[in-house]
Amino acid sequence: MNKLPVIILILLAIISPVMALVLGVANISVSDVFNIVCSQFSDACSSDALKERIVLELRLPRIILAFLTGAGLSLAGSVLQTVTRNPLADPYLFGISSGATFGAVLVIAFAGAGLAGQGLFSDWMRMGITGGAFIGSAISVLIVISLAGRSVQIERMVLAGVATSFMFSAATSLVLYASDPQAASSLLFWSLGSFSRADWDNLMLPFIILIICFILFSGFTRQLTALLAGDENARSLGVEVQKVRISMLLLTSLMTAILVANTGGIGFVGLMIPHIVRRLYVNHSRHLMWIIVLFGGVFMVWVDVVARSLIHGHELPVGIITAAIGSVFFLLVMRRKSWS
Amino acid sequence: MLRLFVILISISFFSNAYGYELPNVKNAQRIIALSPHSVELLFALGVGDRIIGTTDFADFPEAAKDIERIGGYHGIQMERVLELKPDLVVAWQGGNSDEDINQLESLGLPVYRSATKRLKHIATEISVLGQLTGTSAKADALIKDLHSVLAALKNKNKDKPKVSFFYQLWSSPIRTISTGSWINEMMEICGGENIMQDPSVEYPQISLETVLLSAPQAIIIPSSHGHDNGKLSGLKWEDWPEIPAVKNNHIYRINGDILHRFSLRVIEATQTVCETFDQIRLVKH
Repeated sequence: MNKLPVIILILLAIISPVMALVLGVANISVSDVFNIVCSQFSDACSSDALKERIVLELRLPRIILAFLTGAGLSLAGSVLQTVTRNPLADPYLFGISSGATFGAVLVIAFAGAGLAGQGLFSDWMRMGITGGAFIGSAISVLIVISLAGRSVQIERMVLAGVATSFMFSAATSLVLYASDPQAASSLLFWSLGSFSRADWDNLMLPFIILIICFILFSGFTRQLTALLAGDENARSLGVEVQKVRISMLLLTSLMTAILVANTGGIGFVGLMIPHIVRRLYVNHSRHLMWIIVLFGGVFMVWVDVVARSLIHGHELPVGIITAAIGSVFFLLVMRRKSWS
Repeated sequence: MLRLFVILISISFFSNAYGYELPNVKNAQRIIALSPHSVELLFALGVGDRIIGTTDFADFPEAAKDIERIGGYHGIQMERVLELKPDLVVAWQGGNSDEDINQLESLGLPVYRSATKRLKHIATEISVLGQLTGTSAKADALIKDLHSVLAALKNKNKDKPKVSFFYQLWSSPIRTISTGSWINEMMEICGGENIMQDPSVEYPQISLETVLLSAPQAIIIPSSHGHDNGKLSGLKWEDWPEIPAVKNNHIYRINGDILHRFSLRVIEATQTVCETFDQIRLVKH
């Protein structure tokens, strides 16, 4: 087993957040960052108060949220690809993301009309958006599972997922159409994904769900690997195929809903990262889940850096960048498939 | 080629300042006004009762609320417009879709394209509407009034210390006005200094870091239809006392309808802005 790629990845996972802390509108250098970190632990270092707040309260939570989102969506995609044995599976394919987006957009649009101008607004809003996103994604999963047939046929699931996804996208478009122009532009920006709303308070839930999912998925590694060999083989190894499949679907949808509620719709990461990792880290199947989480996190940190620095002073929606890269990758995967 | 050239020359010769021909209307009686500001200006000219159709957000003056709605942001109901048989349609270049305006023209309706871009265009607009409705004398009086009030405000504030401000047009994403925007002209009259000095983009989207670094003395938030009040982003200014505007509690909400419409209410808007800046100057920093 070649250890070099893993070492490189771990180094990247350490260096990338520091680089991301330095890059931004405000001019902050590596030594500033060092001083700020140092001043947290010792009185010997001093740092500029405003720079310290920019780094600690704007950039750091943002980078952590980006990392958690990239890691979580990649993990969700990887698990979905395994339990459905479909290389193109990701939270989008099963309507999980579009259901979550619809739920969240609905809450934003309606709460916006009813509650505008209230004081403790954003905290209630956040809870409402998370709840709406989860209910939307849960409905998607229920539709997909109920249509999957008694033997949980994968083809039926994929088709049901695609149809559900379109249904929720249409509903989201309808809400956008009905909103007034300015609110529509905000909703659109939201639905394309951004980490700009990150703060320390809203990091907890994504962090906890990622840890829980990671532990549970790790615990199911044997069953998941068995599923790759086909339902019959898995059954003969004593795996309760349907139970495993449905519980994995519910877990991934819960994780996706929480991430979407905090960041908006970010597509294709769940599809793309597991494929890249499987190709780059061929002989590391024992640690694949770790590698996918780290790779997805690092990737998303850099996507966010691109999003906030590609056009000076402007912030591009993250979803545009991931989807642009992701769709090209999708085509490449398809091309390879047709060769083999 | 020569023919095309002649046509182009003649078009530019007969058209008004915006490059569009004015409809040949002298005393319009059945008007469809497709923007809130043209409704306000027609009422100011005393011919508001001649408006027979307008769009969703035309809500000032009070009487405007009774006018039939024939469209809005998503488009114009062409069939209803034809049914109403208007003798003048005041369209809004940039506010209504180009397709809609072109279709109105190709249907043979007399269309005037209101194309306001700067503060001075309000006067142009009043003058043209006066011409089209046979109220030029009233129009001239209104223009004179507008000019004298704005000139007086400008004169009064020109030697006062500058007040740096951030204009929070929208909070998610954070969008502001730059020095290239016409709204900024009102701020300038009152001695305001925009933290966004790049005039190339009128309504730039910026990051919170930019606002923090430029440390504005005032934050102006226009309140209007559908304003999100920071709910999506959770923009909580009180978390950032490093900004002088936050520390001194100089965050002001001003009615966005009077600030953002090309109507005579810009007088009220400018007066409010000037008073706001005066309050800020009173506080010693």
